[in-house]
Amino acid sequence: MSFTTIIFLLFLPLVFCVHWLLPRRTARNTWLVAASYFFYGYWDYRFCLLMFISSMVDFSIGLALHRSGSDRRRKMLLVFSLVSNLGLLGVFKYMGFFVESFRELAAVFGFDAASGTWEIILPVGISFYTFQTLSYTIDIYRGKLEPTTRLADYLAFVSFFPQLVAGPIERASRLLPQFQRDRRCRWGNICEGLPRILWGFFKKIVIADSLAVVVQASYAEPALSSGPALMLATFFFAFQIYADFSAYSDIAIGTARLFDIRLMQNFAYPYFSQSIWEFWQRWHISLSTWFRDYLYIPLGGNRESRWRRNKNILITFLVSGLWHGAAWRFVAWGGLHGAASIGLRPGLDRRSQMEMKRPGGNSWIPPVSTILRMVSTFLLVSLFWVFFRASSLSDSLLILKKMFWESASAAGYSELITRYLSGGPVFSSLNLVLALVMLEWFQRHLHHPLQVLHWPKPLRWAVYTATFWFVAEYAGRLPDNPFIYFQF
Amino acid sequence: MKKWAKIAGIELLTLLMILGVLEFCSWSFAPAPALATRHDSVVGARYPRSMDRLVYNSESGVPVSFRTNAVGFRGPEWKLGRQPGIQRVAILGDSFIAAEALEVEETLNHKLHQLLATQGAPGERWEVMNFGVAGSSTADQLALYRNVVRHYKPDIIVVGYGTGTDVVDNSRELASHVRVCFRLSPDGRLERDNSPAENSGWLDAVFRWSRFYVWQKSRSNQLIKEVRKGVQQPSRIDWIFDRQESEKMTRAWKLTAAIIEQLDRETRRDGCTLVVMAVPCAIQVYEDSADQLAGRLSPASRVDPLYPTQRLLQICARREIPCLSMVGDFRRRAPSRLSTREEEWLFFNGVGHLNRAGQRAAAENLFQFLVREKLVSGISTTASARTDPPVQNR
Repeated sequence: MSFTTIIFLLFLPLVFCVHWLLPRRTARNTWLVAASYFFYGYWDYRFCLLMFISSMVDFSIGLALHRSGSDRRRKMLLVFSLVSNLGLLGVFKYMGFFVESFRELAAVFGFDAASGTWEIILPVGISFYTFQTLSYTIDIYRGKLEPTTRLADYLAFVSFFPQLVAGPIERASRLLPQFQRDRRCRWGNICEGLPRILWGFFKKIVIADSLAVVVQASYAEPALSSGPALMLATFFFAFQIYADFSAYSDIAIGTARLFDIRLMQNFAYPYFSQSIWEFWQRWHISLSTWFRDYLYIPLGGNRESRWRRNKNILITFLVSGLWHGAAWRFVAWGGLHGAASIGLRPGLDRRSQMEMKRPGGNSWIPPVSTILRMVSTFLLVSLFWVFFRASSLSDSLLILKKMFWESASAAGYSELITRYLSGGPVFSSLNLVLALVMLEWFQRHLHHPLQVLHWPKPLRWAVYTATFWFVAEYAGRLPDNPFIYFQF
Repeated sequence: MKKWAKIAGIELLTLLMILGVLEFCSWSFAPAPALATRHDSVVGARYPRSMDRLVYNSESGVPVSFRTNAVGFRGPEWKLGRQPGIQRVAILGDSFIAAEALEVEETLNHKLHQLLATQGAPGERWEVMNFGVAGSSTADQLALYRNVVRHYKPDIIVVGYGTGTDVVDNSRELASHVRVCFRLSPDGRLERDNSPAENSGWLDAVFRWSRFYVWQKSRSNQLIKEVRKGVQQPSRIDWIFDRQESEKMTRAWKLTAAIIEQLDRETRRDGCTLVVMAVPCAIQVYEDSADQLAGRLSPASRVDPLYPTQRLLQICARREIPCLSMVGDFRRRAPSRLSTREEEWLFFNGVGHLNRAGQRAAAENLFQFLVREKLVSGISTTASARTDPPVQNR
């Protein structure tokens, strides 16, 4: 079930009301598990079975790890957990990719590898909940977490519907205890949660889906699109994917808040970053910190020599790229980010923690040097997005070639100007991007721009109403697009 | 007391702010498409007069240059009265005829003009006038003919009858909104129904002054439509294809028949010939659309995609009005739904209005029909078009 469907608008109030009418924590958690499985099974009921098996394996391993005194046995259990989780991911997500890559490689050497079609359906959000259950066993193995003996608490932690299919990827040590304590229905949570959900809907329905129209028009057949059109589409895609993915996180965080659950911040105004390194501290924070804690640091982190450190960074980004999708273009995307992080890292160390909290510093108009760093980082990130959005690696290269070689195409620009003047999607998309950047810039000290509880009531409600109006208006105007990160 | 007054004041101010913001957003940001038809109390609807601008069309996904004349219809200025040496065809219809998503050169209107010029009798000069307006019903077209079209003294009047919508749009009890309305008197005579719309009094005033009221109404209707689609509930126009007519639908057909007959009487009186062209919709051409329709209607209903066309042919046959059905030819031309070449499809996205290929097919069918009916002298004919009732269900 997608957040942007009418059925979700009926589902959420129902789950909310029943949840708070139930008297005890176990009953509430059981109800949340049932609701979450219904939410997930709404796509395909077979997905539920897969998630249940994956959850049960780690639940059992967690208990066994806790009971076991032998280091060797504990290690064996951890390996079993890793193999079963990553094996599941390998079969359902990467099998087709590896087989196809092997076949292509065999063809290069003149072998005709047996052909057969692999029609394995990719369960929605498998990468997200697999990483979440993995964090459970790893944290128990490291002694950071006590395993739970209550199945309802554990299943609620794995399947909690707001963040089930596209994150934030929560650590067991942070989320599980929230299901193990008594939760309260607080008015403050509702006041915090609902505006965040509204802001998420605004970003998804108004901004991301509007931009998708222009992006799709150019990326569907890049060979037929002009260089300037592809440039504009790439620029829009940078905002589309941000609005789309961060919208999901906002709706998830807001929804979780209604159940007195606090999820971690997943985005912190990433396009105001001044280096690639900073970008990854602001973009998909739950994933980048997961990779930092469970891959980069175990590889040696930055305690090793400079060469080893760079190698660790590159490996982490390549794996992160592959996590996003089973295709070489994602690996290339990860590799480029890795290379840029290594090459452009020194810029970070000079800036203070304050800037991490409030990107670009405190002033409304930042210094020119800051603006230049932000713009150059944004351009680099946008360029890398080409690999993410294109249908194949060859398409990505074609798009980049057209963007650079046709950058002086007068006909291409005149076509864009015609489209802008006709008042169509190019016109509205530019205005929306501008509006988003302005809103985020002036509210960047907050978790989200609608966090205006301190404003006078009439003004606050005026802001909520205007946002709601836009959501309702665009919901009827644009086709419903699934969230981009559902495919991962 | 003072505290309560303060709370009440804040609540009142909040409420006023909310209403103000809603009204402001509806005025400032709700799409007022450049092509929004203007309500005209005499002819029902027309486009803004003397407009010449580039308008983005969401159906075709490209900007279209849209030019209207001083009377508010798509095309150049037309001179009143009969023009020496020039014969005129006036095409009336809804959005299928107006072809908002296409350039003028791609419309049925222009294609027909080209065919008349290249394949018509040598020396004959033709002018083809496009009186198509989005949302126009047959009732609107009767009013349009009486008040505007007849003053241009056309030789042939072509009514582009929307098979998937017109019968409902003509009926006050079935349509969501009607512009020009007719009713049948107890003795069966057609008369203009000038009774006020359902909204009256203060609601009418709200409707006139509040953009938010209009906006929320359109959004609510859209939501209801979406929910209906989601739960596979039929819409009003779906029932057009059910052979088991409801009483309301029977009355709507009677009214439609009376309007067409009246149009025929008036055009004959003015010395011109009426031709009715049944414009097919995707449900009639593609089997999967018809299957989806059957899924929406109740199992007891007798779904027949060709039913409205057959009803129209019967109505026209009674008064010997030349009536063109194009379903057969469209079905022959339409590629499989699996075809990835969208330009081969006859409808936008396979379901919407006639696209470039659809307009061209309609123009060729109409031209052949006019030649066959000896309304136009032709020097050659293409094999593709022919009148095709009765059409067999596939």
